Amino acid sequence: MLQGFYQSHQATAAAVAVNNLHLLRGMIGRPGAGILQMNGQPTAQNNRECGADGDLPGFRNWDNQQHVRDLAELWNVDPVTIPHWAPPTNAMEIFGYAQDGSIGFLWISATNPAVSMPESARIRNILAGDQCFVVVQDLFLTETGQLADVVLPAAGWGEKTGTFTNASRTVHLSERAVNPPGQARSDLDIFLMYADAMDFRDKDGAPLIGWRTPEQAFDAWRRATAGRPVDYTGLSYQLLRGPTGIPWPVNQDTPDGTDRLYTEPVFPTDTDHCETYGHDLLTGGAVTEQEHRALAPSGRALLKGCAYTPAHEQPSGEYPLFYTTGRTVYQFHTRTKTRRSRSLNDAAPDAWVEINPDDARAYGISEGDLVRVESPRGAIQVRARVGNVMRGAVFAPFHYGFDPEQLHHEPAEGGLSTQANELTMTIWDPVSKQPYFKTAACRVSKVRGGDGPSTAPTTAASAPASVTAVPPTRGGQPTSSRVIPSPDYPNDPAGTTPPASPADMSGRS
Amino acid sequence: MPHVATYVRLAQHAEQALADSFRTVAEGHPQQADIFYTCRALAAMSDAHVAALKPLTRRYQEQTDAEDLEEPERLHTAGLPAIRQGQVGLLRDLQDLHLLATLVQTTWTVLAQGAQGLRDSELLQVATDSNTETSRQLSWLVTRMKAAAPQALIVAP
Repeated sequence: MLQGFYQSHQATAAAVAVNNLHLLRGMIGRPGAGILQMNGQPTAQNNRECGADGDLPGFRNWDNQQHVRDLAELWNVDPVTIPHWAPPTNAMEIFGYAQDGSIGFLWISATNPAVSMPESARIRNILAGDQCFVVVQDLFLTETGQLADVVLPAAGWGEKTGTFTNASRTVHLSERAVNPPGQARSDLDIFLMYADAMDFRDKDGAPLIGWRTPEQAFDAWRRATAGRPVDYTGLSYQLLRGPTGIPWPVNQDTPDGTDRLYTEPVFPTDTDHCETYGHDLLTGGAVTEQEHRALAPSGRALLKGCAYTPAHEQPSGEYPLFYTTGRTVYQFHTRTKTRRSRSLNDAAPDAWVEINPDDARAYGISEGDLVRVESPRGAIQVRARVGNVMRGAVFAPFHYGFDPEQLHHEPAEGGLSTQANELTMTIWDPVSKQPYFKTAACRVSKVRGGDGPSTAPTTAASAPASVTAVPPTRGGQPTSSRVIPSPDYPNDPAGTTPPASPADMSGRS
Repeated sequence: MPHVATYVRLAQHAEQALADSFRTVAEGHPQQADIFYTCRALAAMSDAHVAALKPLTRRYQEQTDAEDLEEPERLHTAGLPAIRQGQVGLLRDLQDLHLLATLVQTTWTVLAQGAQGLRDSELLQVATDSNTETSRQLSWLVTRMKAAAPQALIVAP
């Protein structure tokens, strides 16, 4: 239910409504009622914690002068050098400024906006245009990399050392197993080379970046989390070497980590502590510090809501069907890695759209036919899966970018593109700034009959409406594995070892 | 109470001017997707205030002698006739919307005072509810201006 909420219309309001229900029912802080961050990627949690998505590190509030001063003190810089005079510029706005030419340099690391961002034709124009210099840093030459001015080959997860934090706050250490191939370097090494070249200095003239290794960077990050909800101060590479990952906060009070948040109904809402003073869920208008303080939250949860509004684009005479995009279980994001995994790629090798049997009949479309799907912004030509999508709606998986052979070309007239985001809208949630990928309008027409069923997986949500018409998706060869002795996981509720620290038990009984 | 009718009409005109101006800014900056959609949503908010006020406009007009309905000079404001180009132009347009919304808000404040004096709970309800939503419009305008300002002032072409 992740992206179904947070990439859909009124995303934050819908997510907040779910949280409201849990709070009202007391469904929090006990087994079966845990809290997980709504994230698309396993390490998106890290991004949010450390400020890689534009916020300040450690869930600091850019609108809180004291938070900015604390950070400036930690880094030994003048507070005014830390951008906090406006809300963080989100990715959708950055692309808007790059289009205008007021941002002239884009550095894109480990993501593939040419396929993953809405309204692909617009994104391609921005990336390919001369108004903005584009650097792309990735494991493989992606569709975005093909449009870049400079490509920096980066190391993959097994080729570098660092920590990952998953949506349950559990921090894991991942150590380098092999060296990166060729000229590839770890992201850390690339960014350090950039910092050296830029000669960043603190206010006493010393180098701003004092760390060189992943472990030193981790220790600097730990210091940045002191006193914040995301407290890593009690963690170290040594602790993370085993036997298992550890969920934050980890500090003097909870040296073994914290399995469960909010066992007491106290929340990080205090005005001086909170990450944000909040927003109007309809407009994104910022709540001011004074307004927040007047609510006297002091650890109480706040219930917020807003009235329903219809999605920005509704089906019409010209575009009579809903258009929605999403995922299949076999591919991840824009297939940068999964298209290179034979078993996964064989299970879902090619793009498709799902159409309801009633709509298929009305448009004269059968399983496997080549169809053209159009919105006011673009078109795709893919094979049809007559499936279980609701009547009046068309579903397209967003994973499938350009054919690598045609990466340098715009989709030819007649629409060779298979990329679902050709059709989506440039609009985002007013609070979270997530683009809306789930709501648009489209029309469908048959291009020609198919020579067999679509290759959409039969084992996932894309299962065909009529099972007899399509051969089942099968797995690849069995993988080889060996059984290793199971370590004693101290945080495993099913484990036998009692928790090491009595303090950890408080509030659980 | 002749001037309550005058202020009811002022509220109506000012809200209508604000609604139209939100639409002008929306249509004029379609490449700024959030401006386009949010301004249209906020225009609809002002439209709803005008609609809520309509029966009261009629009632106060009927209760007031024709000669008392003569309005003082320069009472009404004109909305934005057209948008300005570019990032700085957008910033200036948002400032104009803010000015208009401030006029709307103080008009509701004044009307709420009159409504309390008259014990007119219907008018008081409309004035209070509308005022709350005008605050939301103002809050978004300030937030959006703050977001737009650094880029517009320093690096916009």
